[in-house]
Amino acid sequence: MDIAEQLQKIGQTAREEMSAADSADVLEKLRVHYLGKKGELTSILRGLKDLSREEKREVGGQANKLKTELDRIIEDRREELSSAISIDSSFDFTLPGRPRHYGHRHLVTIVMDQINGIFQRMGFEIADGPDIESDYYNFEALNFPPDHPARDEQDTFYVEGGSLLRTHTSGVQIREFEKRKPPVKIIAPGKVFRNEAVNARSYCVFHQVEGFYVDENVTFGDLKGVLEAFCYEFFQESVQLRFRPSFFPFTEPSAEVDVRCFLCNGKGCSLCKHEGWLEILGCGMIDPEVFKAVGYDSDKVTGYAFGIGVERPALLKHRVNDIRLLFENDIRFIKQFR
Amino acid sequence: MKLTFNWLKEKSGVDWSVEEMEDRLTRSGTAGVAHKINPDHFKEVVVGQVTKLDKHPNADKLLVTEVNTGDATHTIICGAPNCAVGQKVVVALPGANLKGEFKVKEIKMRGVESAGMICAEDELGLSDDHSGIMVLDDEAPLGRPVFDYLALDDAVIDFEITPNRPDCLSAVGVAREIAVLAQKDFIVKIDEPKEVDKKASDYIKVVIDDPDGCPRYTARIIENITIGESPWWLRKRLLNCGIRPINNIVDITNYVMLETGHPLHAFDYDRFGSKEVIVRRARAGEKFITLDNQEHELDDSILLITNGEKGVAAAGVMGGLESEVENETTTILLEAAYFNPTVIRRSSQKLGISSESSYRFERGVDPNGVVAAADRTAALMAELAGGRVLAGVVDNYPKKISPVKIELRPEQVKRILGADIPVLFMEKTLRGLGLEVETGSALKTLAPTNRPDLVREIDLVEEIARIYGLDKIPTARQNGGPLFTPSHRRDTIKEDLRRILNGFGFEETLSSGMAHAGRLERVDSTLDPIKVTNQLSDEFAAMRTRILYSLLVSTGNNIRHRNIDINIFEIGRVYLKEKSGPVEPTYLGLLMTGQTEDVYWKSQAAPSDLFEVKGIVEAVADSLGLNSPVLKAIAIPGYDKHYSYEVLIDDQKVGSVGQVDKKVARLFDIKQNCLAAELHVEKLIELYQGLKEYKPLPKFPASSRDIAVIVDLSVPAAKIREAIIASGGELLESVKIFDLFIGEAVPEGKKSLAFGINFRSAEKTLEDEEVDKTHGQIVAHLEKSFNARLRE
Repeated sequence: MDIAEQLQKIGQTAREEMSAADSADVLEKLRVHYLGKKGELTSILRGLKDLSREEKREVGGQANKLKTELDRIIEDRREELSSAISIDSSFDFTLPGRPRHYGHRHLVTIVMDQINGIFQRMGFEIADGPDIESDYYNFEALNFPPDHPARDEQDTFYVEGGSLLRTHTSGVQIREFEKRKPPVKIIAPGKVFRNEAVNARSYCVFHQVEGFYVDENVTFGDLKGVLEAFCYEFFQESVQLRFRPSFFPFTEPSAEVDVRCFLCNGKGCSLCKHEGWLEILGCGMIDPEVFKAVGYDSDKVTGYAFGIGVERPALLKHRVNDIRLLFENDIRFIKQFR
Repeated sequence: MKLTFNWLKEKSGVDWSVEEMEDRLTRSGTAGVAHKINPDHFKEVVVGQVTKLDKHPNADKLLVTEVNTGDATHTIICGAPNCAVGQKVVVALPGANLKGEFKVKEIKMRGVESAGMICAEDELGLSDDHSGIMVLDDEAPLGRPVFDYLALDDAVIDFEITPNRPDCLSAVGVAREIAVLAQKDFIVKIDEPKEVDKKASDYIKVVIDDPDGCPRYTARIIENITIGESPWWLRKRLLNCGIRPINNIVDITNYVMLETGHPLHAFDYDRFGSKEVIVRRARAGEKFITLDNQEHELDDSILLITNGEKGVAAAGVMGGLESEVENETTTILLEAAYFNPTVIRRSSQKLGISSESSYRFERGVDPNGVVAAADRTAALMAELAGGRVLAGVVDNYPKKISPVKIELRPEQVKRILGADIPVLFMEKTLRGLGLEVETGSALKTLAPTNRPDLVREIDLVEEIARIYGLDKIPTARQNGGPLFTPSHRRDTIKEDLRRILNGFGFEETLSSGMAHAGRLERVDSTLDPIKVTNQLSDEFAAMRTRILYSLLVSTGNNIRHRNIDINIFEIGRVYLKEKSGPVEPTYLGLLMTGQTEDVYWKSQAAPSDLFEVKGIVEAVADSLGLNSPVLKAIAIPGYDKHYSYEVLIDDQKVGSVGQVDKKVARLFDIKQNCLAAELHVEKLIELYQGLKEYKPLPKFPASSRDIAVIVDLSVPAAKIREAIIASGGELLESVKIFDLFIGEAVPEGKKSLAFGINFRSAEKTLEDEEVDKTHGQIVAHLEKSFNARLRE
């Protein structure tokens, strides 16, 4: 039997015996037997000096490799044997981990971020305007003539100095049109104010995301496309939409968009007040009067605009039945949403 | 506005179900919700006649009646004051379930059996009237189910009419919509009254002093009327439409208003006070009593109908008390007019009265429809009140209003809507809506005066769109616009700040931005807030000048609910008065109170203190890539003046940190210690200095030394740290304070501060002797500068 074969045989036996060792003592005996000063493998290594240089390199390499391997096997086995005996009986992993509290965004922010994100992916840029606004930007330039009943639909807070608290984010349209030339494709999220009694259904402050796109050849069909895509993404399912003609002074034609009530699927329930539909936004084609006010040529460009209330879908999605909860900032409420 | 289904069906001639009518109208812009009466609620409810009436032997206020329902007679106890023998009444027999909530049974009342109930309107769910039992017409057939007799299978549709569509504030207007949608011809029948020979113009003259305010005023005279109750069909329609019946004359004017959309007013001719109607502006200080018995002081914004001497009606808003129709009235002066919408709106606002009439006038009625409305009213007065209609309409029409010419290019419809709609459909739709249409490459149209909203081409595009159906317009599948739109730091920094603070365990709050003026003033009296001039309540009377205000409101709300461990932040605008006008800087505010962390079994949570907030502020600055903030003690309103600091980054003021003043906190029902910070977000954006250049990682190991020194309590740690850095030379890499000790092992009035110092060279591994030498320099410097003593 040449040395290489011997090595192979020693390796095989040693591996088997070492894996089977059932105590530290047995393992130590095996170590001495194979790797000790007079051990089998040690003897072979000693015998190397009688070999040729060629053989020395070849056999020596194999022998050393085996020695390293057996050392590791002994080490591993020793570890296994010792951990099997010394289990820490006081270790109780049912105790909670160190609390690492990740705070919560406000529900309105969560929904607003979702809405903004969807429209940003469709190529809308974010703009904003002041909360304290002039009559011109909030009403007049948007084709609300003074003394027009359409103003009644938006109960307005006035502040010292003749300004008002914006009743919608639509004024940003005018501010941006004044600064830019078409194409203009913008969303404007923000706070809006209405002088309405505070109750479970309405609050004097809420949030809107205004969107508008002015370019050559923008049609009502484009508006429908963008809003359908938005609803599909926002409600995370294929919701049914209803475009219902309505009236806003700054768009014509104007529409309100309803979604099929997702709680009762249109059969009628308390969520949709038995109407089967939930109103979620207003929209329309930008009125030529608005373009006139900002110096756009309505023979060259057309555009659409929409305004989405943030609170309503936020409440609907989570079945929250009192809007005041949003503004009370009870942290037990805030912590419920991600 | 409410109208009934049968009425609309009758007027339109279109045989749709309630559901279809509701849906088709809603989808074309006339949003309506239908309410039906449940026939089950009228089971065992029949017509009966009171045949006998006795006092209840044991109860003063009750009557024992005998009621005949055709095939049987029932003994029924009734408490209504208007109950009388011979009346036809509504009887609910045992087994009836009124309104689905009240089961009628045979019962004994104070010893007398009662086998049913004689009903009032409210008990049937027909109205809110509970003044007495409902009395039916004498012809009502005995035993007939009341549901059939009263035709209660009629649904009520409640419409939400947009302000641009005054024509739809009427049964005729809505019926026209239905007919157009059903592609049926629509014809309005004009109902001319039979007139007697006497001429109305001999009885009344009309003078218009203000033709702009009153472009048209017509009058008719109807004599010989008898005031009484209107027939049930008329009362029922009014009730269904939400209008309380009063008497036949008033009911007729209201009915014609609902039918045609024209408000009408009936004066008692004999009490009118003259034979001349003069329409003029009110004089400043002039007094007038409206028929609801309220006295108003007028001014020239109000258009007044007068008898030449004094006011008899606030034009288009409300009539006067003195010429109101009364039970004795026999002759009616009927007003049908067209008033300027803006003038009526101002009058209505000035008087603080919004009536069915002013609501319609301020949206615009049809100036060319007033005579038809007057005719219809007069005819009904003849029919239902025995009136004789005098010949002729006295018509003063100084400012004629004509139909508007509008051209519609069919290609414009396609350009706006993106749909191919046949020109034929456009023509048919416009004609159906009452426009005259001349065909050609462009449609030349004439819009009727009942549609003041139709003035421009785009108005007609909208008409086509809504009748065609917005749902039928093909939806685009591609998305046009710029290739790329940028994001702005103004927006992304808020997202970053939310993530950072959420990461530190803070919850985000969101507030109205409005504030209670008094409490806001107590938070910060140095900033004069922008006040709301028509505030809803004190809580919303001013705009916040400090984000701290909102944080305190939110904290108070939480503490009231026993949430006492709070870490919150809010990002929002504050509103400041500047000479140039209001400015709205955005602030990040954060507030900590109670325990800093959740309960953990391994360690005890500590109450929040100023160092917690300082740490957050430092971390926020670092996360945004800004230099370390420096805090400078300075009294800031809202904070305890001993614990109040300005935050400086690169020597610029960016906000404040402090312990909330206890007196201020108490205003918000907060008794616990609150720590807060406010950072000006736009300033944080400005301070960002851009991307930093990479620093090579050190090649050689560092050596560290600790130094503990005992110094006077008054020496600030930062000063010592600065001194260490200054005397540490080039080898000093970093200094950290790792311990503060005050107590027994340290003399009174002194403290021990321990610093961990790192030394490193970029060129080599440092020898101990080099480090010791620098360390020695530092110690010497501290001893000299602060009279510090090394602590062994």
